[in-house]
Amino acid sequence: MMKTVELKSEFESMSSHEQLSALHDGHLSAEMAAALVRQSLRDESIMQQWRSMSAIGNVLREQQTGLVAQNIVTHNHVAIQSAVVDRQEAANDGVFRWKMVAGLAVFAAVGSLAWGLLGNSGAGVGDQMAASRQLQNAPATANGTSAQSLITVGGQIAGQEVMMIRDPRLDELLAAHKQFGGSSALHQAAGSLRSVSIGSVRP
Amino acid sequence: MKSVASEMSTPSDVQPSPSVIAPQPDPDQALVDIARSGGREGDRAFELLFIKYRKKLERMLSRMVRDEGALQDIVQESFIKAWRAMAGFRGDSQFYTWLYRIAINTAKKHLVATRKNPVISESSLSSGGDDDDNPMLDALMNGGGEVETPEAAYAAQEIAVAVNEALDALPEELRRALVLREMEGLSYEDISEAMDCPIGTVRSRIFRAREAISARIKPMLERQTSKRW
Repeated sequence: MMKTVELKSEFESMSSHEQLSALHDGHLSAEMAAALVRQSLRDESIMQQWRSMSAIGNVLREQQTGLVAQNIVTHNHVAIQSAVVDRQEAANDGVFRWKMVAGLAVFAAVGSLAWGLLGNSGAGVGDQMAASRQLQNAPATANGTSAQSLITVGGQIAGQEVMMIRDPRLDELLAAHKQFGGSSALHQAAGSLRSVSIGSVRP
Repeated sequence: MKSVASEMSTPSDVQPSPSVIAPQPDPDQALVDIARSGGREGDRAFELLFIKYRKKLERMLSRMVRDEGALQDIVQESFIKAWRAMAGFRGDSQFYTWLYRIAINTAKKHLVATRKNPVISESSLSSGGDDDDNPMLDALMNGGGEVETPEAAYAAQEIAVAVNEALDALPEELRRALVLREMEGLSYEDISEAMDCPIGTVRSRIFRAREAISARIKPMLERQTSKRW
């Protein structure tokens, strides 16, 4: 009983604001709470103090919620960063590297083959063009020279039968002045020399 | 639930414990009892509960309702419903739990109504009746339904900064007691155990901490409360 009275007197000795703080936390008796509420009807400072205490609680609790959210974000960020920095070598990393090298090698091989094929087909086209040009020039040549001096030679260029009309004297001239340059002396038309030879046999 | 007054008249051979006066299972029991009794004191007690829980309820409901205006309406409506049902509150649960349930049901009802009819008039949320001339109801209707303006948001930010600065300036034992109470939600008994001091000291430290911070934020709150009740 003594202790109860002591506790009661302890509460009574508190200021109204201290009682209000205790009431806010549910640590004030019903009697004292009723007295305080009655007092609040006369004393506006009690209401102001109550608002302040509620605001403090709200701010701190909101911060707590924010801190929890912030901690989750920070934790995830750190976890992601450490996962990136401390990346262990995977068990199949060697296989992956080997496959990458093999893939590059295959790509290079396919590329070189394709390049070679394209180059050959280009040469074939060039041969055909040269042959067709010679065929077109042939009637004109035939008109200006004796028929005996022209020899027709059959052959195949890029799998197609072609006829080439050749002048023995021109062949001799070409053999005497064989070109060693960028273009072949055997298959190219060598236009300037041929014109010379044609000019020489013109009446 | 036994009232604290009746508990105080226990025989002298019963060892008194801190629960003789406090704490109570519901921290708001004393205020709830006064609010249930009605009259001016009852209204004032409910007003204290409104001030204490309005923000908390807003924060909780903001996870359900995104629209700020509707949120304020729901909070206001929830308090009005609670005030009307106060006499029927049996105290089976804590006051905030009961209020929380009312708010959740009000929010659900609002969301269903919004889905059915996206355009809801203000009057559909504020229930009319013969209580409309009641000053308490007027106070609730005028005090709870404020949509947060940029000025209010700035003022809230200003208060938060001031609270933090004042908290940092507190002596360690006051700061720790307040943080354990408000942020960790510990009871006075748990705090006294954690800080190894009597409950009376805990109560005093928490009060002194609040008093110091209140001195910093009171002018800011006064500017705000000129608009609120």
